[in-house]
Formats: sequence, structure tokens, C-alpha cells
Amino acid sequence: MLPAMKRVLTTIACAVSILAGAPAAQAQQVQGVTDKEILIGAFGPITGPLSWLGQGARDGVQLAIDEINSNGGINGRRLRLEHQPAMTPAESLAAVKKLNEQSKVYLIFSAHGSTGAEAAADYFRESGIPVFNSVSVTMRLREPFARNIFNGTPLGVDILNAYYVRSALDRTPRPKRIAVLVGTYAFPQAEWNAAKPLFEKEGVEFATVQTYDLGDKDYTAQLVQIARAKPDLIVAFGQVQEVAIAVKQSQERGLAKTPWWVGPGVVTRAFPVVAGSAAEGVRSVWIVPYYHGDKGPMEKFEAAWVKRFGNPPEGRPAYTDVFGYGDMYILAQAIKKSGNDLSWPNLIRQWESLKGAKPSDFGPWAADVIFPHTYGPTRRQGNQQVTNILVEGGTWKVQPDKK
Amino acid sequence: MVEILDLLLGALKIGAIYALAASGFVVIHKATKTVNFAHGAFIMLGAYGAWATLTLLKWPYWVAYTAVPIVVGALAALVEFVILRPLRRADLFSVLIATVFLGVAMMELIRIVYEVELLSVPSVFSGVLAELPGEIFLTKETAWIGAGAIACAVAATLVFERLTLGRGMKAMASNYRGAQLCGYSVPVTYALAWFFGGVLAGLAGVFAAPPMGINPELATALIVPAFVAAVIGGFDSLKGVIVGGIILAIIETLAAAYISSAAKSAASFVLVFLFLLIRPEGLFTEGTRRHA
Repeated sequence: MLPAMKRVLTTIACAVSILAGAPAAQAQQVQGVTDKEILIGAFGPITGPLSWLGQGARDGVQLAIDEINSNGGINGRRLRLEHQPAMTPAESLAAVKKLNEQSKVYLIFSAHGSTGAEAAADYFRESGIPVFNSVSVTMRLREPFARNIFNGTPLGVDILNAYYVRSALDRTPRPKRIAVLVGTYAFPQAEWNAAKPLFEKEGVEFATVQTYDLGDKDYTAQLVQIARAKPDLIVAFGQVQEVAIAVKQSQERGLAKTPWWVGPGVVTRAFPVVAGSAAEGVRSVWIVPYYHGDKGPMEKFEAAWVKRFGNPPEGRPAYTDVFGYGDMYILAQAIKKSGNDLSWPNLIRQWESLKGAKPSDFGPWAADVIFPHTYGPTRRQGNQQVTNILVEGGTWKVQPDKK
Repeated sequence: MVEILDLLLGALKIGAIYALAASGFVVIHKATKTVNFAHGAFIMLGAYGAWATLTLLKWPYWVAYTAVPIVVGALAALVEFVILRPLRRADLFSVLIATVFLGVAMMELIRIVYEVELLSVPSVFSGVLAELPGEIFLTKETAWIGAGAIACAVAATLVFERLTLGRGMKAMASNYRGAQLCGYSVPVTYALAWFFGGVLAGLAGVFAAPPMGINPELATALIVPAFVAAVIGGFDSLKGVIVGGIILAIIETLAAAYISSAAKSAASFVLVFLFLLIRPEGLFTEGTRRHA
């Protein structure tokens, strides 16, 4: 063989061998991924007033990860969760930076409410790390569109509010004058600001708009003003800690016969207990197909939760446990579809291809406690469904016919 | 007029809780000159105690109203013995800082134990006691809390003013060395002050639990009004804090009703500044007048 030809063949052979080894090399270069393990980052509050929210999401994700690992992992790799506690906006930003830059996680599970998610939103966009939002309704993670940010079970306030208005006005006779009770902090303000124009569009008159502060314990002043305005319906935005007490106190302020509609942040087990008989008939919307204690998939999930974490404290598992659990299985399917090419662009492509994905698609042991998720090249909101829910006989009951 | 009456009725319930919460705060300050910023956390413990007694153990209400305050009082005395007694010779600032972080630690500890967002206990009485003119309802809960909490605060005043026990604390507060020379024991008097302060905090927690719900934020929600009520009524006056608590609740309620919810907190802080500037000793002066 001529020396020149020998050199050409050697070069081609080297090139082929390099190309053949490329996928393996690529997999090794992806941060947070080894031959045996995929490191998932998560952040959220586990102390402070929002701890119930962050603890729930963390535990839900962990439960799904444990189930996945005990059934062989994903394509031979086990999952490991690194959770960074973060309460304030500053802590949230520091937490996601640490997860990405120091811990080098593969992706970040956003297990914080709007306060933390909004603080981290710009960093998510700049860094390009894949993010799965499993708790927040904020639009900052949804607009402007970012290829790397996916939203799971919680809907954005834009979609959610259209349901709010439909659900709130879905009664006979249709309410014409509504009183609004809204918290002054970020979450209820975001709900109210998005719902207000939609209520106006429906021709609803605001009899009065009353505000309260985070942690308020007495609503005498607001309820007296609402009673004076004589509304057909009271709409309350905020969290159970405040709204449950307001609903309870409304009985004393001459509002026993006025119906309430409350934002989904109030739909917890604590609400009917705290508000007592005043809670009967209170309506809201619910983002998963079952309520705690229901038979079927929810029963299966709650049994698995108790087996993993022991007897639950009052109010757990919460809805954030359900979100975290279900959404982790959706993410697991995207990772599984990515095969050996776990590069971020491929993961995103595979994630976009999920249609009607539900937890049991990953494995029959998983409980379908969330609505199916569908993504697309320009669709980053996996869940699109909501159902009505109301308090009946001292507990919340999902109204499946009102989807 | 009807509306004002309705607002005042709501303010009475919350004011009674403020008054009782502030009473324990003042008992400790009056006897030991310590501003106990962990007092809110002791109130919170009282509320959790009520939940444990009534919901977990299903014991009757009278147990919650008697045993829980005593347990909280004993815990407060223990805190004084273990943490604050070694600090007694340090400057007041160290003691104050210790109580601030003790309160935070207790709140976070409770949060670890009870992860739920809100717990509740049913009211002792439910239903309407009387329907007043203008569709105003005086509920049995409002009557029970309003009358019960005020009665407990008044009882605390009588104990402190009339009984030997209270006289020892008063003597210690007015002249530390003199009281010692008269035979009063400093460790015993301080422990008693913390015990009684804790009992009143525990009672405030048991009264506050049904209308306010139970979560760690209850500590913050009641320590601030207790402090403001003490400033209004006088840091050394048990009678004063009862009046101060009710005045504060009325002003907060009227501000929220006729200005905005934000004005509710602002009104209480304006009151604090006004009193500190104009009448720092509060409405009821007992002892030496302080000067701004």
C-alpha cells in the first residue's frame, strides 16, 4: 500500500472511531450525569410560613425517585435528589446558582411558590439549564417563552384565571355583584390582577374590594364592609391560613347566607376543619383529578407516601406532594426517551414530544394522581385541566362533571 | 352606628386576646425587668397545647384551659432556669437577644414537628348568643373569649396586686437589693414571674386557638400587639395592658375598615411612636415616671 493511501486510511479510521465514541463521550460531558447516576436539583422552602408547600413538593419528588430507583432507575441510571432549602427571593436565587454552578445538577425541579420561582426566573433563562416548575403559577416562568423551562401540573395564572371566573360564576342565579377579599402579598395579588379583567369582561360589578395582610388573624373590618355592600358572592384570593379564618368569622358578621368562592390556595384539608360549618358549600377549583382520601390512584399514592415517610402529620400529604410526585414521573419519561443522549437539547426535544403522558406510562406501579401532560415545540404547560371542587359534609369533594 | 357597633364587637374579641397576651408579657417585665420577646412563642405553645389536648387526646375543654397554661408556665420557668439565669449578670442586651432567638427557635421547632399549614380546634361554644339590632350577631364564641380572656387578665392583676406572691415580684422590681434584704429570694421570685407569665401566655394561646387557627405565625401575630398594648397601657401596669389591648384592637379594626388593611398595622406602629414620644410611661403609671 502506498504510504499516502496508508495515511488517508489511518485518518479515516481515527475519524470513524472518534465519531463512534461520540455519544458516550457526550453523555459523560453532560453535567450531573454519570454512568450510574443522574443528579436532580430542587429548591423550595422547608422552614418559614411556606414550609408546608416546599416540604410537600420535595417529599413528592423524593417518593417518585425512590419508586423509580427501586424499579431499576432510568436506562440503568439511578436518580438522586439534591434539595436546597430556600425561602426568600435572595435565598432562592442563591439556591439555584449553587445547584447549577457548584453541585452541577442535570436539571432543576422548581419546588417553590411564586416568590422563589420569580426570583430565579431570569437566571433560569440565562443559564439554559432545563427547569421543571411543579409548584408556581407565576407567568414569569411562562412568558416570555423559554425552551428550557417546562411547567407541570400547576397552570399559569392566565389559564387558571379563566377557569376561576367560569367556576365562580357557575351558579344559579348567576352572581352580578361580587365582593373580593384579597391578600396584599404576591400570590393572591397575581391571582386577583389576572382575574379582575376577566370578571369585568363578564359584566360583573365589584361591590367592594377588601384587602388583608399576610398572617392576619382578624377580618372584622373587611367583613363588615363586605356585609354593608350586600354582594351576591364573595370571592377570596390567598392561602388557607387567612381565608379559612375569614370564612369562619363571616358567620358572625351577618354573612352566613352569602356564598363564597375561594382561590385554589385555600383547597387544603385544613380549610373545612378551621372554617367549620361556615365552610359548607364553599367552592373552588382543583388542579388534580382526585382529592385526598379518594379511592383509586389517590389511595394508592397515599399508601405509598405513608410507607415511605411514616404516619403523616396533620394535612400531609398536601397537594404539593401530589404535584411533585406526578410531575417527577413526567420528567422521568422525558429522561427515559432521551436514551443515552442526555444532552440538554435532546432532553428538551424528547420532553416536547410527550403527549398525554401520565405517571403509569413510566411503570405500572406509579399512581395516576395528576391529569395527563402534553408538551410541544411551543407548548411548555403540560397540564391544561382543572376541575371544580366544593366543601360537602365537612370535606372537599371533586365535581368531575364540571370540568 | 350599627356598623360601628358591629366593628366594636369584633374588636372586643381580638382586644381581649391582646390584653391577656400582654398581661403575661408585663408580669415578666414588672418582676424581672426583662422584655421577653419569646412571649409570642409561649402563646403559640399554648395554642398547640390546646390542639394536642382537644384534638389529639380528645380530652375535655376544662383540661385544656387548666393543664395547658400550667405546662406552658412550667416550660417558661425552665427556660428562665436553664437559659436566662446564667445570663442574669450579663447586660440586658444579651438577655433581650436571647429571648428573641429563643422565640424564633421555638417557632421553627414547632414547624419541624407540625408540617401542616394550619391546625384548628373547635370553639368551646358555638352558635349565636344574641341577635342585636341591625343584623348584628353576638356569638357565644365572642362572648366566651371576650369575657373569659378579660376575666383571666383581671385575675392576674389581682394576684399580682393583692397576694404575697405578687408583692414579692413587685418588691423585686422596684428595688432588687432592698427586696433581697427583706428576705425575698431572687431565684424563686424570677422563676415565679416566668411561671406566671408563661401561664398567662398559655391561657392566651388556648383562647386564641379557636378564632385564629394554629400555626407558628401565631407567635408573631400576637407578640407585636402584646408589645403595643404594653406600651399603650404602661409596661409596668397590668390594669393598663387590659385597656391598652382593647384600645389597640379598636384602633386597628377602625383603621382597617375606614382606611385600608395596610393601615391596620401602620396604626399600631403610629400609636407606639406617639406613646413613646408623648407618654412613655403609658396610660397607667405605676412607679417611677420615665422621661422621653
